[in-house]
Amino acid sequence: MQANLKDLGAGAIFILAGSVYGSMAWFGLPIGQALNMGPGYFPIVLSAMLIILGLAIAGRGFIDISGREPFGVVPWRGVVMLSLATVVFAALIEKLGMLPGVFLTCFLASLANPKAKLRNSLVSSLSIAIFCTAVFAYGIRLPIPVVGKWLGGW
Amino acid sequence: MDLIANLGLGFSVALHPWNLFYCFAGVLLGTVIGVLPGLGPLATVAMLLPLTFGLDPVASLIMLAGIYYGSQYGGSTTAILVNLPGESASAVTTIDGYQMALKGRAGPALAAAALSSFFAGTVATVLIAVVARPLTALALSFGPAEYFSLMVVGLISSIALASGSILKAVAMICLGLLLGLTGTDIYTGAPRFTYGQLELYDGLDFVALAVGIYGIGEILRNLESGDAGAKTIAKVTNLFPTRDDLRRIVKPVLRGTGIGSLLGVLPGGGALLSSFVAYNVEKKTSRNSAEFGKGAIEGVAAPEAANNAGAQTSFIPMLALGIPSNVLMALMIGAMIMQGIVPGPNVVISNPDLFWGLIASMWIGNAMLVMLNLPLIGLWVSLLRIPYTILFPAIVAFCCIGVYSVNNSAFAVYLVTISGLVGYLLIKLECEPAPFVLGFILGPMLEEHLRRAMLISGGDVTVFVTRPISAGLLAIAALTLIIVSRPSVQKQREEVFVEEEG
Repeated sequence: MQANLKDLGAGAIFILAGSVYGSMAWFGLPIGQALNMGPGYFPIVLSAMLIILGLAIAGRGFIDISGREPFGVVPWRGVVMLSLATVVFAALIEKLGMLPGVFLTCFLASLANPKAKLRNSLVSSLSIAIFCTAVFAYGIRLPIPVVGKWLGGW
Repeated sequence: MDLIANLGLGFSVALHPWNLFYCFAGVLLGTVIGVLPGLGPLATVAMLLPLTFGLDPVASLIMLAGIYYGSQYGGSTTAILVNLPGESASAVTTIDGYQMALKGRAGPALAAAALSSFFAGTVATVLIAVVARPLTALALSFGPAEYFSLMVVGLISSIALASGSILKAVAMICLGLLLGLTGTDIYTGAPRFTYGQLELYDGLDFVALAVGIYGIGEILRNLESGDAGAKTIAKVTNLFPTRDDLRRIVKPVLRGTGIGSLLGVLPGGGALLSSFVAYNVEKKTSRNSAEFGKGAIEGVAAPEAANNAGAQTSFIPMLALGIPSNVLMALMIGAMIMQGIVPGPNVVISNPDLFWGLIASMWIGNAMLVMLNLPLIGLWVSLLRIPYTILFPAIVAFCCIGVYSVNNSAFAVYLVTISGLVGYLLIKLECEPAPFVLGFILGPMLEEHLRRAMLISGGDVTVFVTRPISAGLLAIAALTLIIVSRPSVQKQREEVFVEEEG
């Protein structure tokens, strides 16, 4: 079938978001009336608008297929590695500490570049980790340990 | 003279050694990061936002403002020397700036950019000081209905700024408003959309959201093109513009300042639109119009003056009304809220030191920029040589550390991951994030004023059209919507954005 996939995708996301938030408000929150709106009133109005707009966008995707451009390059490697880097940071920074934690995060992030070389990544990650430790742990004195519990703790 | 007394207060605050230091630190950091290619003011401000939270409100806003115009200015340097706009507002500067650089006139181009920015900044600062106070007085007479309508104007205008489909932009606004409502309802205390997560009871962390969309999302977009460095940097030899250069830029700078000041105040306007319009006006009216695109100094001076003026005057609605006219101002408002200041016309009364201190610091910051940038140009050029492959892991680390340190919350960093991914997906689907971010900031305020207006009017919806100011504002919103949705205008908008990316 011919369709503008970008419009369909965007429409689907808006419809999904509208339905999820709309039903959460509908079933979980007092709605009230226009005079004295409950916490659910405005969210339901917005969700309804979102669903209508989503339908319109998706519907247009079927009718007007002129704007059918290729979806473009998606740097999958970057998507995966950057997500991994931030998740690892969130999960482990307290336990690993600033120096190893930032090193690991940077190293993972640098692998997002398809042409990354192991040696370069290691060196630059180490320099960034040292820089961050000096500035944020010793300079601004953020309450993140330099080396965390898992590695002996400083 | 009220104004002079107020400015006196402002300068006494801004010249306080610590505030002077934070202003300088902000301008310096902003320039350093803004010069780096691929990092615009938005990413810079989002990334450095957490740094300012430990400071007192005045110092933190002064520093943030410094970061903002520092990064804006840094973007121009990159535009002239590498032909890469560090940010969208300096995209126009690349056209003639880089051509001048190729002809060995990078120095005069940089000097013209610096001087015209400084001049425009000075004029715009005075303008803010003159206009802001009466505007707040007007705003104080606003009831909830007027506020509601004013915010609707702001939201609708953000559509004009987003490229692509209007339906999608409106949907993004709704999505932003909806997510902005996350957290405890102020009237009833009922938790909304928290998924049972304690961290969400205070709402979605705005900093994490902004860092995710503009920090991580930006890196992903840069990784798409996959070119790692290999850029030629123009040499800077002689900084001084000739007498002829100066004579040629006087009028363009004046016009650019005027255009920028005017467009900056409009919601949805700001630096980007200003520089673009100023360039086109010069190109049409200049006697040297044939030279445009081949290194005309007017083509550097006018848009630089305009974007700096626009950047400054966009503070007017933010300071006087508490309404962000663009995403950057939304970030500033987010910072204010985090500092415990309620943005709005009351700021000038409850925090006069902050209000006037910030205004005075803008002028000081602009003067610092000129002093910082021209003599240290060699340093900025060497920053330009850092390859992106080394840069972006560092950006990821800074983003994580910054977001984490706001509340020592790992949850906030997870939120960065999620908003980065979702933001990137939406950008891929041609949904611009700017209307979303504005909606997110305005969501809770919009709902509060809507509920209050309805309570006062006794549930009568017509209150929004029977009160004259509110009706006028809604008429403006409707008109804007009609204008941007007309096919001819839509086509023009597309052209504007295509030209910018090219």
